[in-house]
Amino acid sequence: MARRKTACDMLAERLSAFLDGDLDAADCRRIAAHARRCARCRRLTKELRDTVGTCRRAATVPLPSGVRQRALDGIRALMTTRRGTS
Amino acid sequence: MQPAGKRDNVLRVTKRRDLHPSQGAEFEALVRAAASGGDAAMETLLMRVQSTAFRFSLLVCGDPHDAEDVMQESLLKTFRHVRGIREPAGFRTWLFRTVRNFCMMKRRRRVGEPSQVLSIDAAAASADRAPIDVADAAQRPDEAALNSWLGKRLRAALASLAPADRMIVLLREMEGLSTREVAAITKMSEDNVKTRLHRSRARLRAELKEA
Ligand SMILES: [Zn+2]
Repeated sequence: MARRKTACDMLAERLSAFLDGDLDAADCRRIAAHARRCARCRRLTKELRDTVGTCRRAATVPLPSGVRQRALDGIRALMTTRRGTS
Repeated sequence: MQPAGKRDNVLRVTKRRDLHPSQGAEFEALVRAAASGGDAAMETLLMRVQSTAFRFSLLVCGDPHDAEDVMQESLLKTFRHVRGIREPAGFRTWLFRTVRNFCMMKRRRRVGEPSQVLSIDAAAASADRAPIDVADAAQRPDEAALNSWLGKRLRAALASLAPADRMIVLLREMEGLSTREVAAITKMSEDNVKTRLHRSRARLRAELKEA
């Protein structure tokens, strides 16, 4: 038997779009209002936001030093050929 | 009961442009400057390309042994491509397709089987390749270095996703591309990209929580 969608289901389905600012104002208000009332959905919202944050922070960490050094060597070699031919 | 300010913070909408301030425009300006002969711009561009290519190769294609070769090949290819570039705005799309193609070729050569990565544009990439000195195998980063770089938990969580979903997460969350740009690179619809991103975030959340 099909279960009726609850406000919690609605939030879970749209949370990703909500965090990205893809929802219209009415949907945003609905989600925010529900999350204020529902501790479980508030926790879910926080955890999903933290997950996205973890991914984004990972992109700002510099490469391991050995990899970085070898890349620099490669770049330097390329730049030498550029200066040599121009 | 949390204070109202904290609750509202949890509920705030994330502005992508706040997180990745005009990265696309920044790349485009760099590419233009490098194309018109600026050595400093070219060096800066190649520095950006190295981390992007390494991250993509390691996280999407998943093979630490290939990641460094793919990075070096991408540097050389970028160096050549940028000199004659006609559409600097399309550079990032070009870059990710190029890196992905290098990953696929590596995998095919190594295991002699079709890549698990999306089978797009393989033919286009096989042309115009040149040998490049690659790092000695003994110099590759070890698992410990890679885990301390990105975090073992995040690497494991990403590995639990399908390759196509990993690519979407990387492009959207880590590289800050728009849904439209990701759709162009993956040749998926924007709706499909959004659906997969939503599913992947939920999966990553569960995996990171469990770890
Ligand atoms: Zn709820």
